[in-house]
Order: sequence, then structure tokens, then C-alpha cells
Amino acid sequence: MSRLEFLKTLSDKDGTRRTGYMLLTPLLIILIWQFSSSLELVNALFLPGPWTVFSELVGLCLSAEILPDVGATFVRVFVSFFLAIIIGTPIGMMMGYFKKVYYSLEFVVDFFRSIPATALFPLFLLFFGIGDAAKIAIAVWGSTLIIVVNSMYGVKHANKLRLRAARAYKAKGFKLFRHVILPESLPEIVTGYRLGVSLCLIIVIVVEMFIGTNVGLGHRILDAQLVYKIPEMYSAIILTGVLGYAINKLFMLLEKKVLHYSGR
Amino acid sequence: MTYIKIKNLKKTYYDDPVTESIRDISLDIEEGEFVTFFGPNGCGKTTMFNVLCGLETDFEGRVTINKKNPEHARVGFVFQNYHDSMFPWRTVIDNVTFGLEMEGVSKAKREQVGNKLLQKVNLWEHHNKFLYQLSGGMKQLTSICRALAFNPDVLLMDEPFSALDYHTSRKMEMELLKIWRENKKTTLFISHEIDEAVLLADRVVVLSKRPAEIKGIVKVDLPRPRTLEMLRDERFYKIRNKVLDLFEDDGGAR
Ligand SMILES: Nc1ncnc2c1ncn2[C@@H]1O[C@H](COP(=O)(O)OP(=O)(O)O)[C@@H](O)[C@H]1O
Ligand SMILES: [Mg+2]
Repeated sequence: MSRLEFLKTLSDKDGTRRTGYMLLTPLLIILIWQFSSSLELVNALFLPGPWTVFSELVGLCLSAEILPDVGATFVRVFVSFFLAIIIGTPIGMMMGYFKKVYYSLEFVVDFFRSIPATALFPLFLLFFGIGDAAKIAIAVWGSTLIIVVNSMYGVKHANKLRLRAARAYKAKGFKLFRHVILPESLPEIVTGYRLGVSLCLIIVIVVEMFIGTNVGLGHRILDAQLVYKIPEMYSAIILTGVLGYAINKLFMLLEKKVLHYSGR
Repeated sequence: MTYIKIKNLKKTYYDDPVTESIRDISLDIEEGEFVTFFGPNGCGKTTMFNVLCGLETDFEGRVTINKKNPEHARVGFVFQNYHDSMFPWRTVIDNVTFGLEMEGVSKAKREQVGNKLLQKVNLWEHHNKFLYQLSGGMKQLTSICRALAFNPDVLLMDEPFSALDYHTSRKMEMELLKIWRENKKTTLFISHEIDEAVLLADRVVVLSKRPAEIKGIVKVDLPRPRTLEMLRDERFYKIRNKVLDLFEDDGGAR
């Protein structure tokens, strides 16, 4: 066995170990869950056993019954997040770059950011009606503010010496922006995106529980609870978690690839 | 003929607190000359370089480089902090050709210039790597290539090797002198290391504590090409002591 091969088996072993640890806690949680339902520590009506929930979940997925809900939630999150990026990034970056823009908007942004977005939902219902527009608008509102703030700090925290170096080599205008300021502030901007998309999911799930929704994970969770289809409620909650987790992982992958230089 | 002319340069920062950074500096530099500046920390050396490269436009006095105002002159700036002054999202070659790209030079032409320089300093094999994959010395060498690729009127080097270890800085000094012998770029070099200041220079300009004034100028008439062996030379010591005498004629403090 060559040294390299030897090292490889080591890292393979390490990988297996890691997976082991990663599975350990979830398995433990399921075990405790199983215990408490077998020993009837918790009312089975509120907390059915893991087996019941998982077979319900598999059934819902196989029958494709819940897929429209997942799809609807996903689309709402995606559209609102996309709009928030388009609106929030330029505003935030301008606030970071131009003092006058910063002074004009700082107070307003800080103030609106202090109001929980969901508190404004009734207001949005008034303006946008009970359809999808209101749900998307409120998610856009909330996540835009986060993206604005992070984009602003991304630009503000840009390394002064690096900007000086760029200017010494006659970088200015759009080229300075495109080749220096943007890549320099992108790591922090993307952090804002990650917070923004999480907030979009939170807001969308919450507002899907309000009137005027026929499809969506939030709607499914509340509906199942109202008619005591508890396993179905848990299934929808788990699927929401899976969706959030997948979005987060996707972001981490993207960051590793695009922002390879971050912090180095 | 005078290539760089600095006449009664004065610079005060009118912030809070008001800082008089440069009191009065007048200096003429010939084309192709290698001048080092030796002075205490915070005396205004970087300030002077900022004026020379056109980043600092609010000053008193007159400065011309190759008959041009600093803003219009082409300056290759090598910063002490090679980490923060380079672009980590760009490859080595793209860092080197940054200035040309900002000017709109075509990619083919840029790469031709960049590759040639990288080959000269034996960095070409790393041209597609990112900066963070290089050692400190290699990063600073990349930074020097970036300055040279810009085809500058003057090379400004602000304590470029002070963050490197002893061995690497000596190696880099020799590398720099090799490049300088080939292209004879007018080079202004700030150093806080007396050996370095003497070994590289045609003239050493000794500066006072802040606000900076010229305490004296020492001509270095050691033969070229310079070698590290000269550091042990009798004549080197004499010149070095002259610089020290100027530097310390008031105990280093004013
Ligand atoms: N942009 C600035 N605003 C205010 N003061 C400054 C600025 N840049 C430098 N100074 C001050 O000018 C003096 C000289 O600084 P500098 O030129 O960086 O010294 P050094 O000789 O070490 O390079 C210092 O006291 C520094 O605090
Ligand atoms: Mg300095």
C-alpha cells in the first residue's frame, strides 16, 4: 500500500466516522420519540409514534398528494426571495457606498426593520387582497430589509487598502464596481441572502396559515391540525424542515464554489 | 535631467486631531534612479507616496512625474500589505494584469505582458492559481509584477518586504535588483531597515520624525550589481554609518 493509499483509507475511515456521528443524534431523538410514545408518556393524539408519522409521510409523498403544497410554498419562497434580491441588493450597496444615500435611508430602514414583518400582514391583505400577491409581498418586504442591511455592510466593510490599490491602478466607475467592490462585498451580501431566504420561508409558512390559502405547507399544517390529522401535520412540518434544509445546503454549496476566496 | 520633481511638498490632515504629516520636502530624482527613504514610523512616508501616486490630491507644493501631474502619471504601487492590496478572487495572472484591464487593454495583449513578467520571476507555473495558494514572498512578487505590467513611469514601493522573514526579504531584494537592472525603472522605495535601504539604493534619503523633513541624503557609491556579500563590506559599513549619523544626530528624536 502506498503512502497515498494509506492516507486515503484513513480519510475514508474518518468519513465513515463523521457520518456515524451525524446520524447519532437524529437516531437518538427518534429513539426517545419512540420510547415516549410506546410508554405513552405523551398523549398519542398529540404525538403519534415515529413509525406512524413516517409511514404517513411516505404515503403522502408517494400518492403525490402533498406535492402541490410543497411546490406552492417553494414557488412563493423562490419568487419573493428573487424579488428581494433584485430590490435589496442595489439599495443596500448604494447605502454602503454613498454617504448621502446612507444618511437618507438609514433611519427608515432601521425603523421598518424593527417591526416584525408578520405584524404587517393584515395591512398587506388590505392592499394586495387575499391572494398570492399579499403573501409574496410580505415575504419580499421582510427579506428585502435584511438583504439591504447586509449588502450595505458588505460595501462598508470593503477593505480600504484594497480599494486604494484598485484606484492606484486607475480603476474607476463601473469597472471599479464590477471588479473590486462587488467581489469584495459579495461574501457579506450572500450572508444576507441566506438570512433572507430563511426569513422568506418563515413568513410564507406563517401567512399560508391565514385565510385565502388553498395550497401550501403552512396551510396543510394548520388544516391537518384543525381536523386532528396529526400524523399529516407532522409530515408537513418535516417536509418544511427538509425544504429549509435543502435551501440552506444549496447556498452553502454555492458559497464554497463562488466565494472560495472569502476570508483568505 | 530631472524626472521626478518634488518642490516644497507640505501635507497636513485637517481632521480631528489636525496632523501635520509632511512639513517641507524638496527633492529631484533622475530617470532610472533607485532612491530609498529611511525614516521613523509614522513620519509621513506613506503620505508622500499617496501624493506621488495621485491618491492624495489635497496638498501644498508642486509635484511632477515625467512632466505630468501625479493624477496623470502612471504609477506602479507595491504595498507593504500584499495580502490586503491584492485581489484574492483573481488568479495570479489576472492580478498582474489588473491595471491594464482597467485601462481596457485587450485580453490577448494583457496576457502576453503578464506571462512574460511571470516567466521572468519564475512564477509562471503558478499563473492560474489564486493568491491565497501562494507564499508571502510569491504574493509580493506577484504584486511587483502587477506594478511593472502597468508600464509605470515610476515604481513606488512602500516597505514591500517588511512583512517577510529575513531570508525571504534578502532573496526578494536581489530579485528586485535583477528586475531593476533590466528595465531601469525609476524606483522609490520606503524601508525601515537600514541594511536594505543602503544595499538597494543609489541614494538614501533620511527623513526626520513627523512632520517629515529631509535630514540628509547619502549617496551610495557601491558598485553594481549589488550582492548580499556587500553587507559585510567595509565600504558598506561606512555608508551605513553615515545614514545612522544623520538619523540619530538628535538621538533619533526631535
Ligand atoms: N488619511 C489620514 N487622515 C489623517 N491622518 C493621517 C492620514 N493618513 C496618515 N495620517 C497621519 O499622518 C502621519 C504620517 O502617516 P504615514 O504617512 O502613514 O506614516 P509612515 O511614515 O509610517 O508611512 C501619521 O501620524 C498618521 O496618523
Ligand atoms: Mg507607512
